[in-house]
Amino acid sequence: MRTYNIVLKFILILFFLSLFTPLQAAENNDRPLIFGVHPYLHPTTLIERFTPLTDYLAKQMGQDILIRVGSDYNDHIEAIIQGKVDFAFLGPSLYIKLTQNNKQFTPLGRLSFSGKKLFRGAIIVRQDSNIKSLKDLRGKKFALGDPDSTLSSLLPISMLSDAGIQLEDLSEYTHLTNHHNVALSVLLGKYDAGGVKEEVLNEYQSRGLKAIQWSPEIPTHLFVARAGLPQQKINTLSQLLQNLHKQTGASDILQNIKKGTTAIIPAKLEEYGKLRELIAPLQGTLPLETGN
Amino acid sequence: MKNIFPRIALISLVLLFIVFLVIGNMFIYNQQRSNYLNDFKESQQTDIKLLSQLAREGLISQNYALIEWFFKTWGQDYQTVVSLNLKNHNGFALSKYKRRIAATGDTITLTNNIELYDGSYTITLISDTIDIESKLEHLQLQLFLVNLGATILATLNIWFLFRHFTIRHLQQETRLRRIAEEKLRKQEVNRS
Repeated sequence: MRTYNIVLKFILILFFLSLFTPLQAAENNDRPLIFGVHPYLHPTTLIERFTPLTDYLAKQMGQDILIRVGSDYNDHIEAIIQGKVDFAFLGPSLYIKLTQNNKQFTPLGRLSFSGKKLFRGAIIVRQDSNIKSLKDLRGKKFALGDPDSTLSSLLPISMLSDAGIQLEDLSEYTHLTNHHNVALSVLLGKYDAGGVKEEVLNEYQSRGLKAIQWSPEIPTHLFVARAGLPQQKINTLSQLLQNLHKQTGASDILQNIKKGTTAIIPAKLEEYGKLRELIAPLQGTLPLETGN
Repeated sequence: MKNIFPRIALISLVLLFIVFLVIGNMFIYNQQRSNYLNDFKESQQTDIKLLSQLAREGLISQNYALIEWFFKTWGQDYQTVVSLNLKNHNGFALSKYKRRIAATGDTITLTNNIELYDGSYTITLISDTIDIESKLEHLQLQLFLVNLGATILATLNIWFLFRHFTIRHLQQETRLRRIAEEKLRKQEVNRS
C-alpha cells in the first residue's frame, strides 16, 4: 500500500510537471521578439524602414519579430529598461542615457556609412535669413527636437552654450517631436533656427535651408539587446546584424534603414565616451568610467 | 417602282431607328457624365474637408512632418490627384505633392483656407477626370455594341416583315391572275 502511494505521488508529480514544461517551452520559442525604435521619424516611415530588416532577422531566426515605435524618446528608453522590447535601435545619447546606471545592455552593432563610423548635425536657418552665426541667435526663436535627441536637442544646446547663449537668452524655444518638424518649422518661419541631423538638412536644403554651424562628429546609431535576453539570442542577433552586409539583398535592407548605410559594425560602449562627456552637463550623466 | 419602294422604306426605317438610338445614347452619355462629375466633385469636396481637418490638427500641434507625410502618401495613393499643396500666407509650401504624369482630360481645382491664430494656410487640390473618362469610354463601347446589335436585329426584322408582306401580296396577285386567265380560257372555249 505504501509503495502504491509513492508510485501514485510520483506519477502525479510527473503529470503535473508535464503540464507546465511544454507550455513554458512553447512560450519561450513562440513568443515573438519585440524590436524597439525611437520616434526620430514619423512612426509609419520607421515601420517601413525597419520591416525589411526584421523580416530578414525573423526568417534567419525562425521567430517572429514585431516592431514597437516609442511614443517619445523617454518611452523608448523605459521600454528597453523594463524589458518591453528585446532589442532596440537607438541614437547615441539615448544609449548614453540607457547605460548611465546599468551597463547590462549589450550593443549588437552600429551603422557604418561606407566605412565612416561618425555622423553629424547642424544648426539650420532659412537661406534668406540674416542670421550668420550662433551669436546672432540671441533673442531669437529656436526649434529643438525631442529632449533626448542627440543632434536635434542635446548637441545644439551644447553648441549654443559654447557660443555663450543659454536657453534663457532665446526669446523662445520648443521641443518638437522629430528632426523633420524642426526643419519644417524653420522653413515655415515659426522659428528662426533649429537643430537637425545632416540627413534631414540635405532633404530640405533645396527648399530653402542652410547650415550656419556643424556639430562635432559623433558615433552612429546602434542596436542593443535588453538586459536579461538569453546569451544565445544576443549572439545570434549580433552575428546576423554584423554579417548582414555579406548577404545578397543586404544593400536594400541597409539603405532602407538610412541612406548611405553600408554595414552594421561592432559597437563598444567606450566609443560613446567623448559624446558622454560633451552632453553630460545637459543629461546629468557621469563621464564614462575607464574600462567600462 | 415596287422593287425600289421596300428598299427605300427599309433604309428610311433603319435610319430613323439609328437616329433614335443616337439621340437616346447622347442623353444617356451626358446624363452619366454629369452624374459621374457631380459624384466626383462631391467626393473631392469631402476629401479636401478631411485634409483640412488633419492639417489644422497638425499645424496646431506643430506636427508638420505628419502633414507632409500624409499629403504625399494620400496623393500617391489616389491616381486622380494631379497636385496637392498646402501653403502658408508667405507662399511657402509645407506640402507640395505633384503627380509625375501630367493631367489628362478636364481638371477640377478645389481650395480651402485654414485660419489659425498665427496666419492662414491654403490647401489646393487639383484632380483630373481620368477615372471618369475611363468609365465613359467603357460606357461608349457598351452602348456601341448594344446599338449595333439592336440595329442588326431591327434591320433583319423589318426586312423579314417586308419580304413576308411582299410575297403574300405577289402570291395573291398571281392567284387572282391565274383565276382570271382560267376564266378567260373557259370563255374562249365556250365561244369556239
